[in-house]
Order: sequence, then structure tokens, then C-alpha cells
Amino acid sequence: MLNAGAALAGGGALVFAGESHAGKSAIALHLAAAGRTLLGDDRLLVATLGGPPRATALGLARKVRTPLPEDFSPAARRLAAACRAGHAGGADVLAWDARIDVPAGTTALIDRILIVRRDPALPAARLVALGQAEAVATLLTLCGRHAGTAADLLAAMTRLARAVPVGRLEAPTASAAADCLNALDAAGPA
Amino acid sequence: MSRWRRHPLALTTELDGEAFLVRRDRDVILRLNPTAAALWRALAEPADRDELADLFAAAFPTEAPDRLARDLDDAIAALAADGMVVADDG
Repeated sequence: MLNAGAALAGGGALVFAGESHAGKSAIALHLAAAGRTLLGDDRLLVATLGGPPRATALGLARKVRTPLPEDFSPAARRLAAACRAGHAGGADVLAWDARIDVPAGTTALIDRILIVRRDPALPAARLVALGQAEAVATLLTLCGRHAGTAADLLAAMTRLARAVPVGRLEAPTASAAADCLNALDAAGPA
Repeated sequence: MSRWRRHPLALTTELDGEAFLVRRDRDVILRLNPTAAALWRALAEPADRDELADLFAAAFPTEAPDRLARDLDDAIAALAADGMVVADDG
């Protein structure tokens, strides 16, 4: 299980991973407001055996912490308001939307993984390439439940880092991060 | 003087010149710093502390010997504490 969300992009999945409060849900909301289809915004099931790495949607309800940050785009705000289904634990629970959310069990090949990090001091979003060792070390910190032993987990993250480009996306706002992700998709495969 | 060897259940993964260690029977993954990674490679065969120190001195000739010795001792202690290396009692 990876602490990550993903957007479908060109038949594959663009995965954005990060710790709690990294802004994954906010990024997901901005991507959805831009017309993206999402595999999730917080947890993904990742498989690395028996084929290329792939991410599977869990069908969990998306959430967004409230109050919404001031830097939320108007479109994202409108979407959050329109989808609000409830409130729990300091976050608005967003209703499942067939135009945005894929059903649980939907699987897509992973095209790229970006570790998201919010830095309000940055003037704009930037991408930083990660070496495989750094990628594995970072991905390990973002893994939740996993099948097998620690050795199996290390092997899985190693397979993932060797098969898929892993980078870091640093951005001042979720809106800037989402814009960067959308631009990546438009640019084509990594 | 004790000779050290790799624990038989320890597994190594090398990426970009760095090393990760894990034991099949434990739930801990270690990312080795350069000194520990060099030590791990040196322990492809059992060795005692003096043999390792000689190897390190030859591999890092520009490093101060006392600092190198300290780093080596710290690396051995850390790997032993995590159960990745054990005394080789023959």
C-alpha cells in the first residue's frame, strides 16, 4: 500500500506520493477540477510482480482538509463545495463521482511517480530527478501495509524504482503542483 | 581478536553505488552510509578488525587514519547491533 494518489494519463497512471499533509488530496482535487480521472487521492495498492508496476484504486472516498487553504483555485473550491458529502476528522468527505473516480479494483500501469513536497517559499513548481537509491529510500517511507517480509518490501520498491521514473515535485501550492502534473502529461511519457 | 562475517540471513541490494540491507527474519531495512557500505563489501569474506582497518587505509589513503579507524569501529558496531554482522568464531 503506498501513500499516494494517481491520475489517469495517456492510458497509464501518474502517481503522486507523499506523507500526510503533503497535499495529495488538494492536488487530486485540483486535477479533478481540470478534468482528470483519479485512481485515488491517499492510498493506492501497488503491485510489482507478474508484469510492469501497476496501481489499483481502492475506491476510498476522497477527502480534503478544511478550511480550504487560501491558495486553492476557484475551480477546485467550486468542485469541493459541489462534492461535499460530509465532514469527519477535520476534513470534508467528497462524494464519489463517476466522472472523476474510477471504481475500486481499476488498475493502470504506472508511468511515473512523483514524490510531492509543499514548499511555500518556492516561486514555482519544480521537478527534481531522484537516483534509484534515493527513490527506494523515499518510497519505503511511504509504504503502509505490505504483503510479505521487509525483504519482500525492499525487493518490491527496488523493482518499482528500476522500472518507473521517480522524481520529486516541489511546489508552493497544490494548484501549482497540479498544473505541473498536467503539463507533464501533455509532454508525453517520461 | 574477533573476526566478523555477514549474518547468513542478511540480504543486500545495491543501487547507484549505495547499499540497502535487510534480514530475512526481521522487519528492518537499513540504508548504509558510504563507510558502512564499504565495510559490508569488505566483509564478503570474514575478516578481523585489523584486516578491515588495513583495507580501509589502502582504499582511503587521503583520510586521517584515526578518523578512519573510528568510522570503521562505529560501522562495525552499528551493523552488529542491527544483527547484520556477527562474530565469526570459526
